[in-house]
This record gives sequence, structure tokens and C-alpha cells, in this order.
Amino acid sequence: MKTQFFKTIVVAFSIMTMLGLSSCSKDDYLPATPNDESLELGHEEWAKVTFRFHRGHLHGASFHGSPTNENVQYFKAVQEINYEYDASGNLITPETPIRLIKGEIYALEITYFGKNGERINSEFTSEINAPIHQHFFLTKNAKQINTDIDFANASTILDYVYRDTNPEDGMYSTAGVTLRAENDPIGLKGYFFVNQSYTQFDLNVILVHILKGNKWNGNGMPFPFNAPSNAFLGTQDLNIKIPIRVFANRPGNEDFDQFIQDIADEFNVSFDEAEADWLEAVETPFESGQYWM
Amino acid sequence: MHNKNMLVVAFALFHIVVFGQQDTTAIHLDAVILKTVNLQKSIFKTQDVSELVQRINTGKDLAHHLQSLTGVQIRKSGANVSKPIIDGLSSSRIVYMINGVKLENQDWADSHSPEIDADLANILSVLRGAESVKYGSNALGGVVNIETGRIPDNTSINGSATVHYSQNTRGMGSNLKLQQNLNLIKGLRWRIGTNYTKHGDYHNQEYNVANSGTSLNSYQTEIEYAVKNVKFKSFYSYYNSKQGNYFGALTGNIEEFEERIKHGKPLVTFPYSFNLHAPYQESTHQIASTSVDWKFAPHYFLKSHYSYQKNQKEEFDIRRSALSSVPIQDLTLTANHLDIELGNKINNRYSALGFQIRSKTNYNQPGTGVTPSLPNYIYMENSLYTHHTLKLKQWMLNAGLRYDWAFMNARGINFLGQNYGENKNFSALSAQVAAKRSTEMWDFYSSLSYGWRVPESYELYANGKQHGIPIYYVGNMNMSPEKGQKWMNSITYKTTNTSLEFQGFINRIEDYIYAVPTHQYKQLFSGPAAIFQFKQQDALLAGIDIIHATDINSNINLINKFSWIQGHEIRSKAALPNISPIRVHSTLSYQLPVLANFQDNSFRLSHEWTAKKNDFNPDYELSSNTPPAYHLFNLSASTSYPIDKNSVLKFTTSVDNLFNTLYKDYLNLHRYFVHDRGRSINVNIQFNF
Repeated sequence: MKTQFFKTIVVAFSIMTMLGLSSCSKDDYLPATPNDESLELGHEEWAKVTFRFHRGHLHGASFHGSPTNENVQYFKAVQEINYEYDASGNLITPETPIRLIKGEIYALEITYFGKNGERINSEFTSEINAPIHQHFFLTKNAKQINTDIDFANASTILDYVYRDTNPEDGMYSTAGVTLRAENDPIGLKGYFFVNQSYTQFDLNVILVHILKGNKWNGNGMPFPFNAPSNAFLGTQDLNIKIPIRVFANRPGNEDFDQFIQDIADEFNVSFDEAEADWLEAVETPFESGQYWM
Repeated sequence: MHNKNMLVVAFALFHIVVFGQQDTTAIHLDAVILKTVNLQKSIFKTQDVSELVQRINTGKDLAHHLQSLTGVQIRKSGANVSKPIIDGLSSSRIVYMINGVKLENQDWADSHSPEIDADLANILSVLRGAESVKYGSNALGGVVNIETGRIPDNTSINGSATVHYSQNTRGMGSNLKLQQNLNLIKGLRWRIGTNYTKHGDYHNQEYNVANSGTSLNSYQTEIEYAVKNVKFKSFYSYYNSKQGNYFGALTGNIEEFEERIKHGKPLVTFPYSFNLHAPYQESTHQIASTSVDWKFAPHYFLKSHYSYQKNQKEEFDIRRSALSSVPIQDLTLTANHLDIELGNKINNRYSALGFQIRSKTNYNQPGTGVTPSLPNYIYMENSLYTHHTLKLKQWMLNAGLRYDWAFMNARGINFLGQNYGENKNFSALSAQVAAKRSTEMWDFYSSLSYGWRVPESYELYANGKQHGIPIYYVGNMNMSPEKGQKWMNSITYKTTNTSLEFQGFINRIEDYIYAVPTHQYKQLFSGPAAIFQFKQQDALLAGIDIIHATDINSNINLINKFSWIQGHEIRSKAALPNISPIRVHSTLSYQLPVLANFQDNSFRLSHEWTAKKNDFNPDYELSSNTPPAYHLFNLSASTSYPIDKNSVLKFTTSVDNLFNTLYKDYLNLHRYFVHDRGRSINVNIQFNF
């Protein structure tokens, strides 16, 4: 009786085993359809960052961009450099440098785009996020131009003034657009003074995302544009290096020829081509520019 | 009697207060053993860890408890994430069994530890030998068994209550266990347990390590009912832990990263905090299981076991575009296991034929706004096994075979919006043979096993930056299963007062999977990250443990342990990463006489020496150097005060890292950035009733 019962158990066990093994076909089971999180509203992974450098001058503390002229090839009023991922997920790092001139003032506007091309700068300017986000601009790997010789005064090449606006996408001078408080910089907008010439370096643009505390020091003041607290460097939402070349000095009456020669050398064109390009640029009415910061 | 009731109430109240904080990690074991001899189980020798040691370890996690066992080291990621390494293998190469349930988890690299509260265990064991057949694939390194054990016959409510405090982290916790053999219904027994602990930041000799706190709360219930030849068991456990993510290792670019490693400690320190802040990770693991053991004939058993598990892992960060309450990673893993075993035990022989179905499903909760680290996937495994144990006069023999059929279907979308994933099939044979011979003065044990492991989804599909350090992991979806052959031997010589044991193993693993730096960088918007690529190579691990124990006199006992392990790629001879350096551990115990009503008075001094890791491949490390050797001294004192026949108070005080040594452990992933924990004075009061 017990032997019979044991046999029954073994048979049942074997049947269960066979059923269990045969019931598994990989095509019968598929996981849930994944969600593309990069399409979610409120995403944190941008798809593209644009840096636009505007050459210009100051009206008091306000920056006024030089007018653009499509015929100008070398002495451009606006230069742009973009960073985005290629199809393999590698960040494309442009090799074409941003070219600056000592003595000029350059506004920099940084724009972040989502996967669908939407502007997402406002993520950094909200009441919650503004206290823990700030762009810093560091000069790295500065060399004498076209050499491997370290540039002696690297720390003095640039000065920067934060000029963020409320709302962030409004142009200062437009009705209803105000400047953010001086002690609340973000760095989406600001302008540089170029103090040194004949140097090439990496402009290391960092957007810190502060995990503990906020961006102000013990006195309630923000840290300088080129000297973030070490405590900030833990988490960075952006850390890229823009190749920069300061290839000339803003010309006075005495060194105009040298200035044109510097343009010619920089762009590998003749002196006459460089001069023609510069003339094309300066013939555009100086105050006709539409860009303000 | 009145005093006893007052104590019960006091402990219960304290526990409720701690429970109110929703945090815990009290650790208390009634017995930690290295596998009992049991015909139905492994034949490896038993090694008990005294109850005193368990109390000393109160408040520490599972891995730290296991560290006291031969052949076990700890792989850490900072202070609050640790997992055991058995004979050089860790993570998903170790099977964790909780009350007979194979723990499922996401097996994320080093930054996640198994969701196990050691306090729930009354029996904790490690199997280092040939165990793949019974416990399944993945048991290449060994098996960690966590069991609550049998509920005693006592018909009145009994149990224990413990409170503990750790000075270094200012952590505190409590646990409470109640159990009863219910008289009202014959054969019915129950047990409940709860456990709560919260630790703040840890510090060492020089600085506080920010956001290194942890909190844990868990509870469990058990019901057992035996009628005639059938025994029903039902078990439920809930485990929830929060672990702060130390962010001082994060940098924005490689230059800073390398500077940070060169500096070796935080550039900026923050004051102590008891509370956890973002970034942190939270794990919730639930297990529900039921089993039936039926002795349907004089020598035959039928065991069936069904379990359901749900594991939720969430990573929280300071969010930019969403509230911080929205996790950046939110994964839910559900698993179902069905085990059925037919057993036959006649005198000196036990045979089993078993069948297992194991399925798990990983699902990424949508709406995090961050690309998940893992794809959605379904894994299913069916297994058929048989194993046999035969006991002769001085010999015990064991042999087994197992065959697994498995598939993994994965689907994911990477951060570029590209679909990835595929359907994969796996199948393999596992086998084991083991023999043990015992005489009055000698014990000999040898086992030979062949097992395999399916690559984890993380190893196959990882494509992203690790949350914590600028390392970008890249999986390899073309990887094959690992196949390991482990030969393990142990020989022990015993006299009345002394024992000397040699243990050695060789583990050859075909297609061993590990991640190594490529010394290339992934350019990301947030800066470049060092790329770590998962690779496969045939590898050979070998180790020797020497354990010497002697009673100097009736009150003084000395135990010395020496542990050496090496791992190399077979083809290139290059050293594998994350293999422990040489370790020597000595413990001197002194049993004091009874003083007034205080009994079991003991004093212990222990010393650990960890060598500098010299056998390493710089190409496989983030630094060209390894931490220097270090010595650690630990002290403990313990006493018991009986209240009455059935109840006793136990007081334990211990000091870890007595001299506040500033040190780094090679097996700690965070060694590049921070030092390990400094001195900690711990107090434990336990009331057994």
C-alpha cells in the first residue's frame, strides 16, 4: 500500500517536473514595456547645451552686443559652440575654438535644451533650485598661443560679471525683465572682460549642484565666478571645457596693422582679406545691435 | 516578580520609542555557526560563535557578523553598505537563504548590500563547500543561511529584548522577540520579532564622514502548526533600510577625481548629523513564504515550499526639476519560488530529489525622469536536482547533481532614447561530491563542486554613471555564464586543550565576470567619467586559512586565525581586483569568577592585522597604490545578572578600534576617498525572559 502510494507520489512529481520544464518558452514572457524617461516632463538629462558669445560694449553696467553681419567671416560679433551627444552616446566636443580679443567684452549666454528641443533653463532658476546652482568659469591649461609653454598670468586672463535675468529667457532692457539680485547669481548670462592676449586655454564651465547647504558663504555672499568652494565640487550638472584662443589685442591707432595681421594669421588668410573682413564688420552701425544683457 | 514585570514594561516602552523613529539595525543572534553536521544538509564542520560575540556585534550588519567566520571577508562601499565575501567571491556569487527562501535582489555592483537583518536569525551559517546542487546556480562562492530556528516548547510567552548604543555614530536601537508554544491549540507555535536602529554619521580620528548614517527597521512573524506527520510553516518578514550616500567622492572632472584620490580624504568636511539627507538609497524587502513538510511514509518526506518576494529599491537625490521625494531610481523586483523535494532517509542514508521553479520580474517605475540603471526584465529558472548523503563509521559522503534551464528577457531604453535588450537562454549542469572523516584527534573534509552563474542584468546591460563616484559602467550583453570548479579541503588536529586546523581551497572559474577600468573616459555633460567595462576571463582563486585555538588554562583561551587568498587571471596571470590581503586575527578571552550575583563575567581582547595588498594589478585599480597595513585592537566585557529562574539581564560593553587608528581597508570601495571608522564604544543590554 505504502509502496504504491510512494510510486504515485513519484509519478505525480515527475509529471509536475515535466510540466514545469515544458511550460517555459522564452517567447511567452516579455517584461513590461520600458518608459523613455528622457521624454518625461521634469527630466534632468538635457540633450544639448549652447554657448553663445556676443562681442560688445558697455553702457554703464549694461552690455550692448555689436551688430551682426552675415557677410563677416572672421571678425564675427557672435560665436556659438554646442555640446550634444552623438548616436552612440558620446559627447561631441567641438574642436573649433572660441576666438577672443584682449580688451573686448564678451557676453556669454548658456542655453540648455531637452530631448525635444525645448529650452529648460528655468530648471535652474526656480525658488528651490536657484540657491543650489551656480555656474563657475575656470581657466585651465593656459598656454602661450601656439606653444606648449605655460601662460604666466592664467588667473588674470578673464573677469566675469553675472547678469542673470528674471525671467531667465527675457532680454534685459525689455519691459518686465529685471536682473537677478547680485548675491543670487546663476551664470546662465554674464559677460567677460578679456585682460590678456596671445594665449590659448580651456574655459572650464561648471554648473554646481550643491547637495549640502547652499551657494552662499558664511556672510551670505556667493563665491566668485572663478573660485567655487571645494564643498560645491562634489556634484556638477555641467563640466565642459570650451577651447578659447585670445589671438589679438583690441587695436589702437598704433597697432592696427598688427591687429589685422593677427586676424590673418589666426584664420590663415591674407592681410588684405583680413582687413576687408574687419572693414565689413565695422561699417555696420555700431549701436544698431539688438542684443542687450 | 514585580521587578521582572517592570523590566519587561521598560524594555517594551523603549522599543516602542525607537519604533516611533522608524529606524533600526539591532543585531542579535542566538547562535552563529559554520554549518552543523546534518544528513539533510551540508557535511561541513560546525564552528560556533559564542553568544557573547553576538552581543558584541549588536548594531552591526550581517556582513560584520559573518566576518568572524573563517574564509569570510567584507566588501564595503563606505561605512553603511557591506556584503560578505566568501573565499574571494561576493554579490550574486553567494546565495542567501532566509528561513529556506532564496533571497532575490537586484545585485547592483558594490553600492548595494543584501537586505537581511541578522537580528532576525537565531542560526546563522556559512557554507563554503559544495552547495550548488541544493541551493542552485549562483552558489559559486558559498551559501549564507539565516534561520530563526525552532520555536521552543515553552508554553508561556518568552523571548528577549535588547537595547544598544554606539558612541561613534551616536546610534541606538532595540529589538524585541516574543514566541510561544500555544497551549490552546496543540501543535501551534508563533513568533514575532521587531528590530529598529538608527545610526548617524560615523567619524574617525580626523573627521566626520558626511551623510554616512543609516537606519533600518524590520519585523517578522512566524506561525508553525504540526499535526500528525504534517508540519505547516508560514513566515513573513518586512525589511526597510535607508543608507546615506557619501557624496564627498563626487567630482566633476577627471583632474579633480584624481586629485581627490591623491588627497585620500575629504576636501571639505561637514559637522556630525544624526539625520539622513539626500542623496540616500532606500530598500524595502518583503518575504512571504509557506511550507509543508509531510512524512507520508516511515522513511519518506515530501517538502513543498512556496515564497513570494517583493523588493523595492529607490535612490533619492536633491532634485532639480522635481521634488526630492521623487526618486531618481525606482525599481521593483518581484519573485516567486516553488520548491518541491522528495526525501528518503533510512538509517545512515539520506537521498533527495527536488524540483524548483524560480521566477523574478524587474520593473522600473515610470516617472523618475532619470534613465534607469537596469532594464525591465523577466528571469525564469527551472531546476531538477538530486543529492545523497551516506554516513559510515568514520566517514560521511555526499554527492549531487543538478540541471537548470533559465532564460532572461530584458527590455530597456537608454539615455539616448534607444531601445536595448534581448531574449537569452541558459542551461547548465551542476555537480558536487564531498567527503568527511572524523576520528578522536583528526577531522578531514574535502569537497569538489561544479557550478555556474547566469550574468546579472547589471553586468549585461549597465550603461551609465554610478550614483556616487564618476565611474561609468558599461555592461557586455554578449557575456556567457560563469562556470566554477571549487575544490575545498580542511584538516583538523585536536587535543584536549588545543586544536589546529588547515583549510584550503582552489576555485577555477571559467568566464569569470568583473568590471575593470579601461583608463578611458566617457565625456558627459557633467564631466568625464572613468569607464569601467565588464569583462570575462578564466580565473583561478586559491586560499588558505589556519585556525589555532588553545586553552591556556581553565579561564584563559586564545584563538589565532591566519587567512591568505589570491586570485589571478589564468591567461595573463594578472591579479584580480577586490581580493583580500593577508589577515591575522587573535582573540584572548578571560573568564572571571562569579562576583556577587553577577555571572558569566568575561573579558576579551582581540587584535586584527591586515597586510598591505601587494599582489594587485594597477590597471584594475583607480589608484596605483593600495592602503598600508594596519592593526586594530578591540576590547569587550560582559556580565549576566539573573533576575529569577527564567529571566536574566546581560550587560555588554565593547570598544572597537581601541586606539582610534586611522586606516583604510583595501576591500572598501570608498578607500580612495575616506578612511574607515574610528574608535567606537558600544553598550548592549539584553533581557531574556
